Amino acid sequence: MLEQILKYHQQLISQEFVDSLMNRIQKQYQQRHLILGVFITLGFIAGILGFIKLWPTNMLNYFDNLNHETMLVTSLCVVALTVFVTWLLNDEFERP
Amino acid sequence: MLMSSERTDNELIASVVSSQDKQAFAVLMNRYQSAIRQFARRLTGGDYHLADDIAQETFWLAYQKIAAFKALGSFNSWLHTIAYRQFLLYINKVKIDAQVEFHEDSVQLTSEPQSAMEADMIAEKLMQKLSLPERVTITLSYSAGMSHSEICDITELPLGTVKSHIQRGKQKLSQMLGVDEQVA
Repeated sequence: MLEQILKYHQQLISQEFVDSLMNRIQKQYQQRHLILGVFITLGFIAGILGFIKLWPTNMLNYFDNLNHETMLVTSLCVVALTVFVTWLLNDEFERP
Repeated sequence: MLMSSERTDNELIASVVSSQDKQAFAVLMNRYQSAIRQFARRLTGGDYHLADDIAQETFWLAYQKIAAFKALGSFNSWLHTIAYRQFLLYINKVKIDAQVEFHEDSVQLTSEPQSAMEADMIAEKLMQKLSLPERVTITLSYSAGMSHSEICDITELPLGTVKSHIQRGKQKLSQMLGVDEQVA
């Protein structure tokens, strides 16, 4: 008899309950994304500033003297590096 | 390829852990929300708002800590453990006595419930009459259908203590309902 009285009689299934938690998870994901973006930007700015400071002035003319082939190879290396970094950080940039 | 709803708990959990698959977690939530919300309702003695807050917090923590789930027991049992701890945290935070006031006249214990909702309300009112250890052990045993060893894992109580809480709770409920304990 106790089993009959104490068993769960209703099935409490609510989409609203699920959606509410999913929204919370989504919000947290966006927050993490924002923090990551801000710190990447800050790191990038700090890196550029440091790079400019350390860069010897005479080397700035280096690009003027580069031939087309070298520029092409450099561009390909930059693209390959970007693809690699994107692949490496894929989890962080993945859509929820 | 299997539909998400046809996948086992462990497959869904692996999917959440490896690729943060929120859809898989939503399937798990749909699968267990009723059990956890009902469990929280019984623990709170029928406080539906508090019960749903505890259930929400349970699934939120489960999502955060899902990588720590070792699959030594069932996912259902793991969720119940989190829910129970959340309830204990709430009690400690607000420093309330888990023993809720029981108004005998608010529910006709002897009358036949007219609906599933009413039957659950009667069970929740009955829970108010029990101490917290009795309430949790009785609910896990009679309502959630868990074994004594699972209850030990969830409550971190020794087996003998779990058995005596269930026995005592059963006696109280039998007295309230006016039924022979042997029959109950």
